Amino acid sequence: MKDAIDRLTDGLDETHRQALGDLSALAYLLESDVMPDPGQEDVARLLEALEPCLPVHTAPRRPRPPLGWLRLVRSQFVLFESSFWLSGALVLLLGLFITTIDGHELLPLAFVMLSPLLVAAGVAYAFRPETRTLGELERLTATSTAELLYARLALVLAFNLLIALLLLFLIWLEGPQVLLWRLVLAWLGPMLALTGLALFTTVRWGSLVSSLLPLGLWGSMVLLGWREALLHHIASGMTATSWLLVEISRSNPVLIGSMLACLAGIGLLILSGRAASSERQSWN
Amino acid sequence: MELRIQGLSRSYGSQAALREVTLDLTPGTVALLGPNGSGKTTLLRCMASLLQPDTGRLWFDGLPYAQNLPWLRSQIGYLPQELDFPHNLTPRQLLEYIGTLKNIPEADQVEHLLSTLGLESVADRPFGKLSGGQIRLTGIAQAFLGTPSLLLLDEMTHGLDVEERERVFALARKPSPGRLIVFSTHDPPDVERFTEQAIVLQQGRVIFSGKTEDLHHHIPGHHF
Amino acid sequence: MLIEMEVQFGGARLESDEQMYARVRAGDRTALAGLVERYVGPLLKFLTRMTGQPQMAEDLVQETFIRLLRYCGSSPQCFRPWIYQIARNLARDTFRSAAVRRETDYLPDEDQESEWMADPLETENLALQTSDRQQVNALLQNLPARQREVIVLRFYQELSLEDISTITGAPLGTVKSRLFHGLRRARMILEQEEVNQDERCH
Repeated sequence: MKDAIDRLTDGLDETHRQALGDLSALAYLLESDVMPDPGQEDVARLLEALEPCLPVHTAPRRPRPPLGWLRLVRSQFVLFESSFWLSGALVLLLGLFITTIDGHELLPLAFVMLSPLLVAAGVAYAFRPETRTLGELERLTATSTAELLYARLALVLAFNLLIALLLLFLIWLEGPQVLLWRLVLAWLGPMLALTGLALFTTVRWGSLVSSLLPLGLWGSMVLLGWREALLHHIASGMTATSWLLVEISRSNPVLIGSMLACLAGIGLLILSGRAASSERQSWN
Repeated sequence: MELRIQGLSRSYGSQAALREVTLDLTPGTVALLGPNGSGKTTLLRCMASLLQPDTGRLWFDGLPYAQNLPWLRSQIGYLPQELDFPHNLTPRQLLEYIGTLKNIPEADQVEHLLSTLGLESVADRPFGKLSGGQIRLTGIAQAFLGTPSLLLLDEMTHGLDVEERERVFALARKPSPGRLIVFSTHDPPDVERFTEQAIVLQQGRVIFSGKTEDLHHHIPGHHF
Repeated sequence: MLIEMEVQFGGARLESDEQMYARVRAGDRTALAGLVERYVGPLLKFLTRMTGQPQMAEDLVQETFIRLLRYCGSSPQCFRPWIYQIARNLARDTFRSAAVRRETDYLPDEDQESEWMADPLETENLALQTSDRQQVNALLQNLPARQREVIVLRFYQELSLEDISTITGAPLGTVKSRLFHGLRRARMILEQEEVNQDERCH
């Protein structure tokens, strides 16, 4: 009882303790109130309710240094078989062949119409249904899906850019009918747009869709353009090829369209990375 | 590093692969036993966060799986049951590739694993030309890359000869404080030699969890 | 190696509250379970004695822990008085809402510290209580909340007056004053009840 009274009055000075008088009855009553502890089930229920509020573990993630990115891109080489590099070389040879036929008009046209498809095809190849095993092991690493995506894409883009530059060099040697910067833009816009589309569809729906969709879309546009050319060449007296080249070199809608296609492509590339990241957050 | 599993269930269509599995695992080596179709691979894949359970929860080192996947996945080394690597890749290329993704700075670890598991002579031969045992050893090597805290090895010794098994056990026995290894096997000698603890699954349920020496008392004559 | 549940050896804590809370803030579920185990009982009892309503007390305990988990500031140097401060403020805010305003004066006039005799009506409530717990509950509910909380925190939670000062935000002198007047009032309520009982018997 003395302990209970001490618990009540601990901290008060002697004068106040004496002024309070006999607190034994009060202490006795208060001490008689023994509340049971909550049961294990109640505790478990409480824990279950609290868990969603637990902070997400954020282990400090160091940003990848430039050399680290280089190393990551270099590591992707092993996933590209020799057939991929050979096909790029074949495209170059094709360009050289077209030069012998008509380097003046046919080569620039072929460059604008066909090379964007090359990149899209490269993306579809780079993200082809790999063996399931390797895909799973890639998920269980410190490298995020978005990083992997961009590293592999960088390799595809770099290779295609190299081919494109060599083809542009050939065109320049031939003395093109169209200003080079307009030609580059007419190539860059569709190239970025198709690449972004191919990558986005790969992340969301797999590489089968990513190979068919850009091919179908661009193929339709090329056919439509060619149809327009065939309709107009008789009226204008120019060959279909010449008419198309004139359109590329003069048409402002083509110029604006190419710029918009560039923006759309960059937007789709960014969205692809975000989509890939959110996939990583989820279980499957 | 503790692994806690509570009420884990997973079905494939109408077929239940795991039923209300509850386990508390602490650092060490645990053998996962059970007949074919008992749910061992499903359980390992759930532990590896490659498969989402229908119900139940998992925590690794106190952290819930669902909210910590990116960090968690960087702590796991996993050996799949089926190993279907690209045929043109070589073991060295695969290990270097996975090592880069795991941000392992030195190539020494790759060479060390190749030599520990006796793969130096075939390190540069494509997978299309390797035996099943050599492919599995490569799979084990990549799981150990980066010294993960949680190692999940499905059919760890399947297709390995005696010498290859010894190499794997030697690697797994190397001290690594805080590491938890869970491996599935059909070979009782693996369990007796290598582990002190075992879990037995049957039709998706845990029918035994405890010390290996108690295994035969609880489940006499059971062949895994 | 395979364990069923964490065990505290002989009641001795292996880890301080502050260390455990730091792990909780890092997302550690095991640490959360540890903190809950330590504090759910004491908090529930404190809040039940403060509010007189067990169901409300349960809700307030859950809300206290949620506040803990969502807290974004720097971790407290001393965890124990801090968690009680959160719980106490939650109880106070709950009672301030119009929906649970009661006749009992929750915001007493601190200046009226003269001799006080409990209203006979109030002690009749005490007499009607059959169990000790109900009697204690009735007694505590007859005290102004600021005196009640000091007595509960001192007697049941065994917190020092300095800690109670931190929890309630009142200066130490005020806390002592509330303790003194609360005990005196409680004693008088009990004495009045005894007198009333004697009168009823005769």
